[in-house]
Amino acid sequence: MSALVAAQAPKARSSSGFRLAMLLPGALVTFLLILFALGLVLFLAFRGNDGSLLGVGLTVDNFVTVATDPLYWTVTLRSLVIAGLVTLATVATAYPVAYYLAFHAGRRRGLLLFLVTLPFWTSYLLRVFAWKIVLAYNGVLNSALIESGIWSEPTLAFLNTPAAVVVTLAHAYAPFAILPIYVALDTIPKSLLEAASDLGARPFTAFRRVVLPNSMPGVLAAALVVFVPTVGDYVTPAMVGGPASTMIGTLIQSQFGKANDWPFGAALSVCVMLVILVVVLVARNADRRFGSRT
Amino acid sequence: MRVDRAGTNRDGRWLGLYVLAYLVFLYLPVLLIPLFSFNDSIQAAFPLQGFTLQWYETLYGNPALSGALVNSLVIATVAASGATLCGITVSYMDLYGRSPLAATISAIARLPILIPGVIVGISLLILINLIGLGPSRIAIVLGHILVALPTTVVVMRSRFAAIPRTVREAALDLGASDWTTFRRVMLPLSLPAVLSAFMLAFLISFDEFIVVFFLAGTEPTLPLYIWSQLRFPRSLPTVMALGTVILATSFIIAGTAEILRHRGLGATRRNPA
Amino acid sequence: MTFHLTSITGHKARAGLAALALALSSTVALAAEKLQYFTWSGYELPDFNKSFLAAHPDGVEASIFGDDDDAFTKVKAGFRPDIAHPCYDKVARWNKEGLLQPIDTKRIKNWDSIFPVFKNLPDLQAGDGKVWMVPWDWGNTSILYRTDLVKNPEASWNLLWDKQYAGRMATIDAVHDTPIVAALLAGVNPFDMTPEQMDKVAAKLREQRPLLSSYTTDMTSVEQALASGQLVAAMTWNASATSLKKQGVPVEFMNPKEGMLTWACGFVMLKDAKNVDLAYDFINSRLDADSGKYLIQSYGYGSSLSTAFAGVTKEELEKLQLPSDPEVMLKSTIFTGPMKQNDDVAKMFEKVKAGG
Repeated sequence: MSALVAAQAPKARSSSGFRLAMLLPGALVTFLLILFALGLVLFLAFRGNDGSLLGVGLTVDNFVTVATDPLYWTVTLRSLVIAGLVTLATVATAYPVAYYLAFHAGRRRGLLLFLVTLPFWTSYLLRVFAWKIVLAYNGVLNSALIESGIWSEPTLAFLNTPAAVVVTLAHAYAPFAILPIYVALDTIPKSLLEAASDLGARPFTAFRRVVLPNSMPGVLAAALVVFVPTVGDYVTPAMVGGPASTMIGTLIQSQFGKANDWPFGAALSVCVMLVILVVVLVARNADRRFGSRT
Repeated sequence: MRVDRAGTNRDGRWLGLYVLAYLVFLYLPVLLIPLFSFNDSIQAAFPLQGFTLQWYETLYGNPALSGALVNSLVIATVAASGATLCGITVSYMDLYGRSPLAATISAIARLPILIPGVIVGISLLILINLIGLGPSRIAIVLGHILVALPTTVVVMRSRFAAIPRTVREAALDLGASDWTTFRRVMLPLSLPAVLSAFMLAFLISFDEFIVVFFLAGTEPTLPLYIWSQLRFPRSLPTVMALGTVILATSFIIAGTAEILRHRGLGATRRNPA
Repeated sequence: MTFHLTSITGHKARAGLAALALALSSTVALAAEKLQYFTWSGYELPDFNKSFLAAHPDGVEASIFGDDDDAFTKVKAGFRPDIAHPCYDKVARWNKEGLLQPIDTKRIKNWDSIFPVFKNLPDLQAGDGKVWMVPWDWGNTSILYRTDLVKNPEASWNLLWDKQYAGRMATIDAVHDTPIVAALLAGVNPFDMTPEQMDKVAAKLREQRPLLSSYTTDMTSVEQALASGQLVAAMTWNASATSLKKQGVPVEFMNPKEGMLTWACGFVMLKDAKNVDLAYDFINSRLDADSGKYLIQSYGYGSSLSTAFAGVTKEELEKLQLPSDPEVMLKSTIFTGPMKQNDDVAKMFEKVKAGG
């Protein structure tokens, strides 16, 4: 131990130069960009609106409006529900694929991973537009249902609904969900599974009591990666969601655009970020109590 | 090793069918894009109206389009480099720096994941206006570094954490300085993670739209260009053609990378180092 | 997997840094000599300013916006093009922020050929023979509907409030379109309303919300949906009518009894414009009769120049439902001027759209 300390002492000077060089890029980005940007939003949230860039005066009116107007609660709740449904749909449909990749794919694993991530290389906007074509009145889905005789008339119930938002985003976030779950499943030591079967566990029990809990960190990571961007998304609801899917991101964006009330938009943003933080902390806590064993 | 050979083979088959169905779900909308890029009609609807290459011809020599593509590539490269560099340094110092400052930086660096894109866009818009920069490509690069940073930090952190501490301690014991340890031991061991972090950051930047929407000046990126064209009915098939070209190119690139990787693995198996 | 303990050698690192520096330097905009033109998607076509490009090859660089509210956000936040292309009703707002510099009409060659009804618009006048905006294009907004799916509707904006077609209608997501129509139907002056009147307009808008498939400015999707029958009626600009008729879809651009909406847009010069002379050349080039004629024939929008109409035949104009004199048009349409309570109406509209 003392030899180690003695060996490190003479390097003190080069070490501190190293430390400085290593800390510098991160410090620049976090303090100058991230903290400054967040501070700016926080500052703007307490300003009054007179159409200028940074507002005037100091006021809590913006927050009062957010808290007292039921519309913002409704829309935030709606955003959380839709984002929750998207997360559930994406993670639930992705899990079996990740499971297959980790335990059954064998040599074809690389190929499958490749196939799963490839659609992600087209532009996000085009993928959303492609879903418009699929779900449209005269689109692929309606045509197929009519051809097969299930329905006699095309239905309007596909496009411009919250369901369309859920399906489109579950499709767009698929690789983001599959990869973390796959990585978590892959790191489960096979010895655990062998031990389970040696002790007499049937395959489903082994899954439920060994595999599932140990993959929770991956599931949580996947859920976060899907949930958070979805809550604030306004592009997808605008393209396939219709008026019933107006989410909080749309309202925030409009404050900086058409409504021209930047301070209020900043206040809404602060509230949304707090809500997301609370949800994430709750999920983390639940995971620690009921989920992971790691 | 399988838990129970018979059981999992049966499971494997059902699961395999599910995966197949899932792949169809993944590819069905995406394949519509090449389909309608050859369709002789402005409308992307069935029935198909005949085969044509005219939309691809309009792609040729379209300076706005090639400009947007080049912009996207340059911005993604620079932003991914910046984000990866920061990701490496931040996560390394978080694990081995033994200082509260490094831990704080690491925590803050992962904050942007909680921030919706519209907020990133607006706050950076105000910031760049205050420092006199204005909407421009540099602004977009900064925005994308911010957006991609949590990903690179998380990737590099998990990789560095997986390297046994003894490796680093051995290097230090043998008299290597911190810099040499980092440069010649830790970094090479994490090269796959560095590449993967870079690729992820590149993809995030290349496809990102909301932040660009606020920060773009006179030079749009590809998503912004596509968006501006989508609002214009006549341009829809041309945009489909563009999407097909992007899809085909990435298929070729990713496919080649896969084949090379297999070859590389095969070579290592034949000649264990 | 074997790890090869090769180091990151010095020259690789230096090469990487050099590449990074090169890439970074390429991000610095070399925009000093080119004219920066900030405009609607589709208005940057070189055919609109042929004479400018002849004198200054490759001399203009265009940035695109989809909505002039987005444009205003950008410019307010520090984006500084030389020329922008907002619409008339927003000029006062841009001016209030101190974003514009006046344009000298004496330097505009064809100023006198512009229709007087546009030349004399109040918000344009900067005094002393100068204007804040040079009008260039104008057009109409009305209901485009399928004649085979909507049988003999009453010629009124009320069609978009008809419960019969619930879920099969769309309207434009803009403050100066849908709320104005709602105000007209509620008997309120759209351009100056009291808070009580604004509540009436809000109620009318709320009535409409459950019947709509979407609020949008994405004319691509609207046209496609009308063609497929998913929509039976939508608020659109007249270019969509022209486009769908060309494709053989049975549609009609309604002439409602309350009046269509007519809009006019044009060029403004930003206060700190770097290329003022180039800007004047550009505007002059756009005010060539050829440019106006091309606008009429390719998009079906009106040109602000009376001389542009001279080159277009009567039959073409009839097909485009465009009169050759906007004065005639404006006698029966509502001109979209500035709304005094624009920001309040916008806020209200956003809330109604979200369900409030």
